Amino acid sequence: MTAKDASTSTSTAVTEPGAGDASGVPAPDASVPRTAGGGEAGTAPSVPTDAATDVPTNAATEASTDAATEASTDAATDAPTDAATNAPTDAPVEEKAVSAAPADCARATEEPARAGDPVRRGAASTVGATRTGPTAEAAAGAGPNRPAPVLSVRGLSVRFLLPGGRRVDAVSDASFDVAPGECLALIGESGCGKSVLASALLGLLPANSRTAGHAHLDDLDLLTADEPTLARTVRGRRVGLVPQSPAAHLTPVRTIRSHIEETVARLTGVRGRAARRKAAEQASLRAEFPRDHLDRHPHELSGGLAQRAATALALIGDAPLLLADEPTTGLDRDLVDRTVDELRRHVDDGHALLMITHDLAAAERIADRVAVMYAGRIVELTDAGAFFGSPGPRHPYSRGLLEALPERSFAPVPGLPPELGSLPEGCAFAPRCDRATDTCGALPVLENTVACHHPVPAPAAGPHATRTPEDTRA
Amino acid sequence: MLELRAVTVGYDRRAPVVRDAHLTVAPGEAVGLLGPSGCGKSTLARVAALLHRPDAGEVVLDGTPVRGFRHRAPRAQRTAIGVVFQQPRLAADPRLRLADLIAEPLRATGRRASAADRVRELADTVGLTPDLLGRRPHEVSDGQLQRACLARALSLEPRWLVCDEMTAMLDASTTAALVRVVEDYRASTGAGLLSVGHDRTLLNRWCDRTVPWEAVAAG
Repeated sequence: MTAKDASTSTSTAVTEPGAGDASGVPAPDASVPRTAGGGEAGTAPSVPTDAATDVPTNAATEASTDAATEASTDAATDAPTDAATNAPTDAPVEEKAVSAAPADCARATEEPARAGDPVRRGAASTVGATRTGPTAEAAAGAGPNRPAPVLSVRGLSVRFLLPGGRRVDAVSDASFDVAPGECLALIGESGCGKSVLASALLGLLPANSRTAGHAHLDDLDLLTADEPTLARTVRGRRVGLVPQSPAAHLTPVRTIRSHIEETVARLTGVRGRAARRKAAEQASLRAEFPRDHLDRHPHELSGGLAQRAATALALIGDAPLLLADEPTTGLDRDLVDRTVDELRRHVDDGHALLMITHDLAAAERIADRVAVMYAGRIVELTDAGAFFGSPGPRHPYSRGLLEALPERSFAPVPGLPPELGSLPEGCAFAPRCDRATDTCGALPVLENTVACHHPVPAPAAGPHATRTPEDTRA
Repeated sequence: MLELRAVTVGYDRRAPVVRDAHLTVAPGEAVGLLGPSGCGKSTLARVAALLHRPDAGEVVLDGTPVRGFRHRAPRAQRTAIGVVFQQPRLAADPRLRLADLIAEPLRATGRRASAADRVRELADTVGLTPDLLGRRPHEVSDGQLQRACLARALSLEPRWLVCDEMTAMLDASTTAALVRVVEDYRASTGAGLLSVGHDRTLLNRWCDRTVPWEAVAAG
């Protein structure tokens, strides 16, 4: 949208067929002042007037705009997309596929952020804000000669309140920075809270969530910003999302060209049919999406091409921060490498990238720094070179995760991760840890690079610095 | 022996996905089938699991040619093969608790009485804690659900296991854990394994031999 179109509006939700509205969801009531960040709402530009003429603003279009442009992951958008895309492609493969429903139900609960609650943001109230100590501050990020971070997260916690007074601590006290031209890989087992963290940064948590801490995108705190601000100035424009399963994020009934053109129209100042077409082709080129596939529908694309289409959409707004949520799941190794290399190219172009993944090989290929998450906490945050090479990870969990790789010892970490609804008092990894002692009953804080009472000692760079140094306990 | 002989298969007779595929798995042997996305390896795995009827060619199971596929397969042949799919979410009935999910093959083959004990035993084998057994698929993680799916595949003590990208959705630790379960099972029962995937490192580490897709099927 251009400055010319932007006019100050104090009751934007009334005139704007907002993101929430679009998917059959009531738009947040703008007349009720939100918490901090409400100042943003007052000056939020209204929807460009020509959007109404250029883009038919019916529910279907809006929903697709959400999926494509603002990378919304709400259940309302997911449901039809999944039903239409997954059913035909997956049904022949999986014997017991009852319908597309299981996948959706599953997702809804596994990532509570997408649960069916219509209100996008729970009142961003503060729950027992755990202040971050100076050590975490130091560990989280900025070294001496690092550029100012694009994203600065401090003490981020996300809780889900469930019926019956149960509480799920999905993310606890996470702190990290991501700088321009830098990729931070957030790794951990499935269900450890990685995706919830991503949802929190995009303001896509459901109503039963409570957040604490800060996530500063330059001067804007993503955790307290209101929905109009997030919808109109953040998603797609300041944060680009490369989604987990592109096939589910693209609208099955529309071509890739149509997705890209719509996104171009919404996010950039390009006006006019011909100009938009040209801009769309340029946008597809940036993500190396082949031009002759532009008129295809999502189901006609391979996984790799669908991923590139999604990446192209994420790049259109030229957002300084890219957020990639498991961008390589289900792709084969060659495609993983290609996808990751392409993302790296965008990092080298100056974007900041937060990549959430459980694929350690992909993380090793792309990341400058690595944050390891376990049971909702960041337990290690260190340089990728040191982590994957020498001296190797220092937290016993990170070590176990790396050692589980088939090219290493292929030995699983014993036991199962704890339930996020009933975390132990102290170190959550202690029950699975062979280094645990009584000290581990107290919660370790992130010091230097690791949150552990008994980290693997940093070796005094000896002559035997190998790729996977032997445990020095012996 | 689990043999695929000159199997041509697809979803449209005019455009087969797999042409003239030959593959043999000896008893107790672990064979990795390595191929890129979309090459047809999953379709071939479905044929090997008697879940998809080939257009041409035959499947020979322990010396007996397979005459019927899916529900037409004789029970003795059907239950000789355990299958684990790539996406546990799509392979699990969302209405069933994990305990019922694992017990389903037992009940379907008239072993209802012993099912409860067997489920506990299987859950222990795959590393599921008892509290997880009472949950439905949406209440557990991908890794936990795949553990349940593996337990289900092992419930009838199959002589053959077909794992179609069993670990593609899982993290490194869960992958290693599930592979260990399969290998422990094979060590104790002498079952043969066909593991289909695209991760060369994993298949080389896991299987006795890894065959590339080009060596199995034509064009």
